[in-house]
Amino acid sequence: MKNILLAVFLLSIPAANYCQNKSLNKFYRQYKKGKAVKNFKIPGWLIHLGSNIASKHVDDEEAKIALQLSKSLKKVKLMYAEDQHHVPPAAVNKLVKDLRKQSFDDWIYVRDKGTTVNFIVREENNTIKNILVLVNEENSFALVSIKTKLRLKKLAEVINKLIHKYKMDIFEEEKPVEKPPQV
Amino acid sequence: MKYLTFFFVLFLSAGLSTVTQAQADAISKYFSKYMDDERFTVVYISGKMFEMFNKMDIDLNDEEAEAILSVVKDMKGLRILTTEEGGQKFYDEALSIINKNEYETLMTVREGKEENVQFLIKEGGENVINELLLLVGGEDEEFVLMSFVGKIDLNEVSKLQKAFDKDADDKKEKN
Repeated sequence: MKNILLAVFLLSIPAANYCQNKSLNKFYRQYKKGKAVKNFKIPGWLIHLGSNIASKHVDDEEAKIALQLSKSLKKVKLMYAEDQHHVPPAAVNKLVKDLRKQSFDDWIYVRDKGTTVNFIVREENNTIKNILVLVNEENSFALVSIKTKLRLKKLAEVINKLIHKYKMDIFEEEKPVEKPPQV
Repeated sequence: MKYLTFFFVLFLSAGLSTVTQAQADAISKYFSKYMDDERFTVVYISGKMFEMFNKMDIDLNDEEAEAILSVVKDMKGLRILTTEEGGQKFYDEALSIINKNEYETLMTVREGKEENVQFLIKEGGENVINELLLLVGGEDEEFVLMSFVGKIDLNEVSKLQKAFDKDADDKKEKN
């Protein structure tokens, strides 16, 4: 009996995750194949491969530090529609409302005339699980959905390294230049 | 008689809390009213964003930055509503819905009918502000309503001010 219950519990974990992203997945499937809609997915392994290669070829220390965050990315979905009619604003508003019921939180919302930007995040146990950016303009729509396992502790570590690097750079700039001894 | 008094007090406190809640919602209702109005620019940063900074153990090692972080760590949200049309009209409307018993005016600047600026606060206890409201409006002026909601500790604000002053003094000495 215990084993059956354990198996049911383990099987329900991905289902639970799917339920939380159900509205997002439904929205993506519904509109990704529309006319004038471009979409693509980048799997996590490709992101990790790309960032490993990039970190070996990039000289900028700050970029190398920031690339460490890419190891927490699991999947990225992008969708872009040049004509707003293909992704109606009403559908986007419904998506946002549904996501709020599914443990997503609005972090930032900006609206200026015909342009709306939503930055929505799902966070659990100090780990960012999903980041969703929706940009709705008069003549276009863009969606970026990032599935992650980004621990706030890891994010803090990266930020601390960047701050330390920034301070070292300032220290180097302000260091007085030693004049050669006069003969 | 005792029971009558008891029920009277109970209904009175329920009524008061309803009024308080209604007042607390008055600003939110005002925002909701114009959030979808295309004449307005709306910015909303939720408390979750500030909460994230609180949860992360960022080693700033900078007095100013740490003072800023200690002020914002208990913020519940920031809302900005602004429009370039009808500055005076919206300013008067916003002022009319604010209950002066709940909010205290911290500062007022007025330049005739051209520009009005008001800072209002809602206190939440000793040295703590629950809401800071900024209202700007006037004829031919844009209207701005900015609301910081949270637990703003005035002691932390004072430390921030000292950190800024110290930084300004350090820069003067270097020059």
